[in-house]
Amino acid sequence: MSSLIGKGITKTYGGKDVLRDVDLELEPNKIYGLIGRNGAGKTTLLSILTAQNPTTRGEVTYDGMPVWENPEALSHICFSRELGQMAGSSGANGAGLKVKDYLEIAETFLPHWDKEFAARLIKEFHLDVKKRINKLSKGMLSMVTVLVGLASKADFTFLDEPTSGLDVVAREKFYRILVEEYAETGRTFVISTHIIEEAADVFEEVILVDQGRLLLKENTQDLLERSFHISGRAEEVDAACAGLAVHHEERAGRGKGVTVLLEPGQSIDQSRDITVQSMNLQKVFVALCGEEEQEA
Amino acid sequence: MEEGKRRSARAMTYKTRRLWFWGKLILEAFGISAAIAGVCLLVSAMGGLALDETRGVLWEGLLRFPVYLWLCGAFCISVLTLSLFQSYANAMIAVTATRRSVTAAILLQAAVEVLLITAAMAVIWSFVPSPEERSHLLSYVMPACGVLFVVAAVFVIMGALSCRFGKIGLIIAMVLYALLGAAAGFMAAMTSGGDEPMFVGSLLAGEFVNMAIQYGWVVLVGSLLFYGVSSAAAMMMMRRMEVRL
Repeated sequence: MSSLIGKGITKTYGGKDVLRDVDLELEPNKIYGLIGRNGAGKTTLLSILTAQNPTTRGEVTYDGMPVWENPEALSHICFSRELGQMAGSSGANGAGLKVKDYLEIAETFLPHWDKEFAARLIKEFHLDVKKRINKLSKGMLSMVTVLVGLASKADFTFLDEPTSGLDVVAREKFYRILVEEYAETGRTFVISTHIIEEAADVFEEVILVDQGRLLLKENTQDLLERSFHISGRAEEVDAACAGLAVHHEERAGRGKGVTVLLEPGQSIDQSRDITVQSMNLQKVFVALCGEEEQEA
Repeated sequence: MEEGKRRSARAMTYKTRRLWFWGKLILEAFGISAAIAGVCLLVSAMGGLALDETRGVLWEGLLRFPVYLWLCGAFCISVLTLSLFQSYANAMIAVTATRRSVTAAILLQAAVEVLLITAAMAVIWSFVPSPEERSHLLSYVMPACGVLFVVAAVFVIMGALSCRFGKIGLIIAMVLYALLGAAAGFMAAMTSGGDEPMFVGSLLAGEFVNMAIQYGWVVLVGSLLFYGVSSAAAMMMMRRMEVRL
């Protein structure tokens, strides 16, 4: 299996850059988490990587072949996205289709579609396939997203917010099936989600997108091992953080709290009167992407 | 290894699945056209367009059924083509079919539908007992085929416009065709002589139909050219279409 590589991906809508010079390499046999704030460009990035939308500039390749309008490259890819617009519209964009019609289309056009697996998932999630897509609840729409992504058996499977709308039980089921599928097939999954902490254990690597730019792409465990929250008196914290990349300052009276991401070879001066705590992925994300609110 | 074998098996049936999908669509549309045409024939026979009893029910059916099939076929082709662009194209491209292949498949299914309907007309009319009548009816087949291609071409453009540009595209197409229709009506009125435009207009229409039958091959060639141009336009419009789900 080859890597999926995006180089210099830029997307402009109405003069505004939604994505700017994004370079990204997705390796085989991994589960990636794609996180970012609303409007950061996650869905746009996923849709460009999977040739659902054209780039303004830049290129996406699989095994050296451009992905755009290339059936050979596209046969290794599946992008199962939120059917939000389809659900909300009256007849255009496929809203009038029944779930079974949509699954029939998926079965027809996804070359590695696993019909037995799809049938098992329909049972597992109690999906009513005779319902029209624009009549489904948000949870049911998410189930369709999950089902298509998993049953596609594509080498690179992109799932756009698959768990939004799912209840806790359904989410647990999804992650269990995802991990089983990954263990059995070694497929690459890229999952965008807002429910970060729940999914953090599943992500081998995390991709963070903010305001159209790729902020970081890193092994999840490595990221967490170099992320710390330092708190204490302001002057002590400042002294301890000298030379370190500081994010997300919080002030309370004479006290101060900051998030630091250590670079290789760096360490925190623990001789100071400070409290150092490790962070979870959600807190790292808020620290890196919550800056604009702080500045405001 | 087991999963690898299963993947190979699934990939092998992929082409078969696509053929089956489009083939089923075409046959269903043809079936629906034939069924509605049958109903129309029954209704017309019961409702007052009495069958010529000297010729018998079968003969009358052989004469009329193809006409109804042609009319229903035009309707089905228009609805199906528009629906494929509006409802199915987005979903197909969303599951990684290429825009080229989806557009080509829609164009091909419309063309096959046209040919199926006109072939059925020709086959049914070839069983008309009277040789003279048979020959006369068969002369309608080419222009009828041409008209169906024109209908398909119109709805290919409408469908591609609405798929590419959304509701605005559909409105543009409707306005365009309204303007064309208005221009055609205006020209007919201008050449009518002024006082009795409707009567003269219908005379002109009758002459036009006679010419179309006499020069059926011209109508067919012209309509094929139009279909080719609209197909090319559809391909261009769909080239950089963004999936909207």
